[in-house]
Amino acid sequence: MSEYAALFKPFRLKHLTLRNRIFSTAHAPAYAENGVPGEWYQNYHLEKARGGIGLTMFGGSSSVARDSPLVFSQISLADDTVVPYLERFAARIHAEGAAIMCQMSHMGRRAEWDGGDWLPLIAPSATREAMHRSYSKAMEDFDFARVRNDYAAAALRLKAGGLDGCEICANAHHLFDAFLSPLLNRRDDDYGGSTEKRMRFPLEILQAVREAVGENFVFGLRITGDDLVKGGFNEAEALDVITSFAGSGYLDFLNISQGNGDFGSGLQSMIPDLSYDSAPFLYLASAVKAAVDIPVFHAGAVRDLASANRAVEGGHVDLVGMTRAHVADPHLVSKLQEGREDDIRQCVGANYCIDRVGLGKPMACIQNVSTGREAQLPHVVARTSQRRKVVIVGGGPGGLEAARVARLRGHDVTLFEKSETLGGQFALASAVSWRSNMSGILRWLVQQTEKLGADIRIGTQATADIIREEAPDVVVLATGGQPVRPDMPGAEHAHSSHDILSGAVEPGANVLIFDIMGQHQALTVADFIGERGGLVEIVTPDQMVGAEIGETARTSYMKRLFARDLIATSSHHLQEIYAEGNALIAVLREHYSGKEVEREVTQVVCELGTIPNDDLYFALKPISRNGGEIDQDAFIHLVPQTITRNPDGTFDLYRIGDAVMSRNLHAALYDASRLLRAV
Amino acid sequence: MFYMERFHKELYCAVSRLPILVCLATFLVLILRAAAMARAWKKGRPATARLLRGFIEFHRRYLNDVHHVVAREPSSARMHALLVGGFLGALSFFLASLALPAVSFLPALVLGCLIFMLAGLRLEFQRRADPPVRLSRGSYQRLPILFALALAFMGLTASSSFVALPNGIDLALTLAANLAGLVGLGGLAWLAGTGPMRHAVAGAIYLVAHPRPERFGQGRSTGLRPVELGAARLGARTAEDFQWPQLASFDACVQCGRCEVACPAFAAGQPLNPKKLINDLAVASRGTGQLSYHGNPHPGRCPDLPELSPGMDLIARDDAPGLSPDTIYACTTCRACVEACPMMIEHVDAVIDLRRSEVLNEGRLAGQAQVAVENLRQTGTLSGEALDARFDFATDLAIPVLSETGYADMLLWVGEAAFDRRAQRTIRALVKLLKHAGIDFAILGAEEQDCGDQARRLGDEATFQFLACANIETLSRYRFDTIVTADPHAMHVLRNEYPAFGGHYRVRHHTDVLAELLDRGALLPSGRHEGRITYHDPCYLARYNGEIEAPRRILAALGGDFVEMERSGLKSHCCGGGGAAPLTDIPGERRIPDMRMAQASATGAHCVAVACPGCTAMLEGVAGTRADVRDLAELLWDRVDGASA
Repeated sequence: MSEYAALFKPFRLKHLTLRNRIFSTAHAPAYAENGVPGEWYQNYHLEKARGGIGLTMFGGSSSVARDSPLVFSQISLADDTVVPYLERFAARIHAEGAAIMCQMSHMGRRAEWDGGDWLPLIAPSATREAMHRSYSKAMEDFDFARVRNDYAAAALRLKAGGLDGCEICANAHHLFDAFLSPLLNRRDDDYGGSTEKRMRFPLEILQAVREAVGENFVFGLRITGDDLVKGGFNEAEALDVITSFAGSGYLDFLNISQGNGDFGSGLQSMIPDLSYDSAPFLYLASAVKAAVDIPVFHAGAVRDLASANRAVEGGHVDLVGMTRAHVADPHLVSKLQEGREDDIRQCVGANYCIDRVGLGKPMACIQNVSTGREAQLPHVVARTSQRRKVVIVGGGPGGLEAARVARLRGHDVTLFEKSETLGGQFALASAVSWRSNMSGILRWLVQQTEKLGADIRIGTQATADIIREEAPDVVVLATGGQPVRPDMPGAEHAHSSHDILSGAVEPGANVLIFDIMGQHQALTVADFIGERGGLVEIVTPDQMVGAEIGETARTSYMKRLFARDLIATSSHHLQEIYAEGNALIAVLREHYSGKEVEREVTQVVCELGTIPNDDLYFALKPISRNGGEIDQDAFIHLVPQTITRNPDGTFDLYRIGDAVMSRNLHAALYDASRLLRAV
Repeated sequence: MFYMERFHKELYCAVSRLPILVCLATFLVLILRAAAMARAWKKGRPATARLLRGFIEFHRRYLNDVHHVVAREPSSARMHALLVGGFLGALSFFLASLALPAVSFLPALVLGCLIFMLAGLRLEFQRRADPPVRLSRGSYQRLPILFALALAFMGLTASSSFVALPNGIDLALTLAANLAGLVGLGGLAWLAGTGPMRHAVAGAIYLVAHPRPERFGQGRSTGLRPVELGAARLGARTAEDFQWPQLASFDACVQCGRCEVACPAFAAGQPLNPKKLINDLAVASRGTGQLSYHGNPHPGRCPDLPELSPGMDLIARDDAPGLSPDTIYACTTCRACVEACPMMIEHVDAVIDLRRSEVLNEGRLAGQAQVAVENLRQTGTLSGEALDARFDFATDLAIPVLSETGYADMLLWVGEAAFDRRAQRTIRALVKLLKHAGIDFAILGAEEQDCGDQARRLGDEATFQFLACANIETLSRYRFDTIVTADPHAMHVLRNEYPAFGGHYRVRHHTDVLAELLDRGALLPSGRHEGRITYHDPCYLARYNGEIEAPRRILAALGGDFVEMERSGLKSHCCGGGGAAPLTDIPGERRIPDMRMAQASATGAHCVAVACPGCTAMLEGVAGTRADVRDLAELLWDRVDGASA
């Protein structure tokens, strides 16, 4: 009996035979171009199909109607434009042995009235939606017929496009499940009130779709098993409703989800981040599976194969969704098949992917820079026949990624790290207990780099002489940065985030954190201090704390910080610090009014970003061939660098990541990967 | 004076007849000793081989086939040819000279032959001064002395007709020569019954009555013979259960230890020394105390021969004497011993006969083997998976099923590989290659049952025959030209062992098919394999079926720096996975696959090409930093896929 045998048991779903039990749920990576899935979108899913996935669903919240605007670059199924794209998409996925389906939805109240065609939003009742801060119109009699037809027409387009099936989204307080929620459906006609009445319109939609597509097309429902809202569509009622839907005969599968989309916290429970254990909501699907006799699917932070196998082997679900697990590693299944389980890059649940979409940017994986860039940066690094000697300085993520890619290219690699451990600044990211998963990113990079045979020399401070002795062809400096020191009266009283998180400085009892970056660092320090009993005030010149952190990730911080009485002070600058007795006085200035206030604290921590560690760079620059210059066009297009500023130079010199300027993990990895693929 | 002269004359007359007496005495001893040996063999079961044909072919079998094996070690061959050739030549002319004293040139011929014998004897003395560990000691150490005495006897007797010596000295020398002759020749004859010289007598008879006459003339016969399941006793429970030529083969062992050197289980320190096993079985047929043994023991076990006699159970139970079950289950059935044996003894047949008795008479099977056999009986698969799950791993490959197509040029036999995630990769690569080459092929789907190889190697002939008959019945319903399989064990069973049950098929190994597709240009690999690569010959492909060339053709097409291991081709070293050894899992001091991987590493290769799912599993199971293990189909698909991308 092979390991994970349950996951590799094929699954009959109507006329389909899925080659295994692992699938990717529909999501919206914001790769759609003008509402259609072009090459970019298709390539992203094609990689999963090549990687052995059984079923890939795409098109999260694909819109069935014009009054469901594309607020996060979804696909539009509202007219026939999409059909030729679907045809090509389906053919490409099928050629790799996987099945393909699409999700469709009418967003209802959960959109922006000024998106798309400025049409009024519709909902069962005129309730306010929090995420987009918009009201919507209560549906009228003519709206019901139109929306039913829109769903049916959209499903027919998906069928015409050669897809294997589709599902309706009913897990984000979109129109379909807004009808189910007693909070959102306040109607007093035949479509509101009792559970049966609230189910009426959803059932009409299911019937309309089934009648349109016929039996020879898989049709399912992605529905919340508990919307986790007080007074909302709770677990008990959801189970009754889902069981009724299953018994209606319209559906071929149920895809159980949880949470809602109204708030960041609702979205975070729908897409659980690293603060949740693996498979935290499997119990909801398991309860449905016990009650119905049609196939049950589920996704929700199933990050590891052991949890996935348990879900299927234990009979909790028929198919297990590993969507973000595939964002991190689309070759998850084939690596397992090839006995390369150790090479699987496991999702850590950082939610960088979903939060980028929330910020209006295309999806990217925090740790896998090839995801969403399949055409530019293939997931499999191509070898080169021109073996070169690459010296890398700095064992943080950027340096490790450079070493990894260089080894995959076939180069000889020596990596110097001055400290006794690898990881650089990024090792501090997992300093608080609930973010310990972040260390998984580093663990994988270190494991891969060592396995690939890079010569890693820890505890070695690289100097220009040491590097010259190595006779390198290419030198990559990934020396990172160091905290920016504040420039103000009393700056000597301030500590940096690094000081606290590294353990160099004991956290104080009453701490003021001044943050101008709006990133994870300041909130991590706040939580680190809070975990150790300190009281914290975060002061920022921004309008909110953690402004640059995405919605779902910020939720995890805020839950904890506010539970420990965080004071979040926006719109203030730190002017001065002075000692008074045993205490420190921090002088704050309000940004707009210029009004000054003082705080008496025991410790001040400043998070001002980093400045590059560039001494070595400037020492090597004069003797390098390219003088440190990078041809940006070549860099972007992965073409070998050819700049020669100093013909006597024997090596090319590059710096990446924070050694150039203060950025984030993904930027360092992307720098490294792009640079080394062209060496 | 007259009386004195007459006395002298009569004395000389009597003394001159002494050589005849010595020879007659030697002959008598030889007859008596051989008769005792023959009585022991007679208790065995009747021979199946045709004796007359064996008799007619004897000289060819001896001079060609036996010497072909002997000559693999040139120094031994030289020693043996000079010593035995010289001895037999000298003895023949010597006997002739005794019978025809009037023919004056015969003594000269005797002396001429003795010069060769002397040269051989010198080599033998040199070897015996510090013999290699594989050689037995004991009476083997005394053998050159007996030959020296025989040489002295014949030499002095023959030369007496040329040299005139003073009477007294002549008489003393003649007496001494005859005494030497009596001890030398008589001793050799005596040792022909219980000592080293048994090999000459028993070996000659064994060559005539060899149970696998197909092997002579560089032929191959490796399929196990069926057991009549209705018989009262199955397999070999006691020595008498062997066919008499098998008993003769045990006495034919010359204890050269070549099997011991070749045996992977011995090298791994598992309790099996094939040489000792053969001698254990010899004493069991002759009676305890009849024979002695001064070679290496089964590793970790008592060096003495077991106290076995005819009629006694061969396998030890409780405190009874006999062979340890571990000894017979340590065998991987790799046939390295058989391939190495100059006497052409069939060690593996003996091991299987012993296992058959254990399983079929006693119902005993160790550990995982018991589970595997239960699985086979209940599910038709070794791992206990359902038959209709065999192609679960390949749903996306959409392989045609024979029950739907009715006909295919090739039937792809997948076997247990279908249930092993590693082996699935090989099959997937093979399927893609066959599709790429446009081959019309199909699978049996849920109708394919286990081929029965493991059951048969374990000794469970009943389960094997059940599966064989079921598969033959299934196959009889379909039309196909060829069976192709990536598993040499399945290939061997289908090709060499199913015919006895009425299943006659053209069965090809995937490497054979792929090599042909390369030759035909139906597969066009691109690029070169990077780095050094070596190839591990699977026992069941190479030694069992002689197929060593097709895999190398594929390797040549892959390009790359191909290097052979020291033990390759027909001399290949087992991976440890044959004969159901992974199921019986007999402990040793080392693991066979570790040793094989070390041999591969010694070539400096970063990749070991394999052609058998068993070898793949064993070699990939080697812990620590090691070369990659890739089936030839996988390596080839990499190149072909790269070419088409």
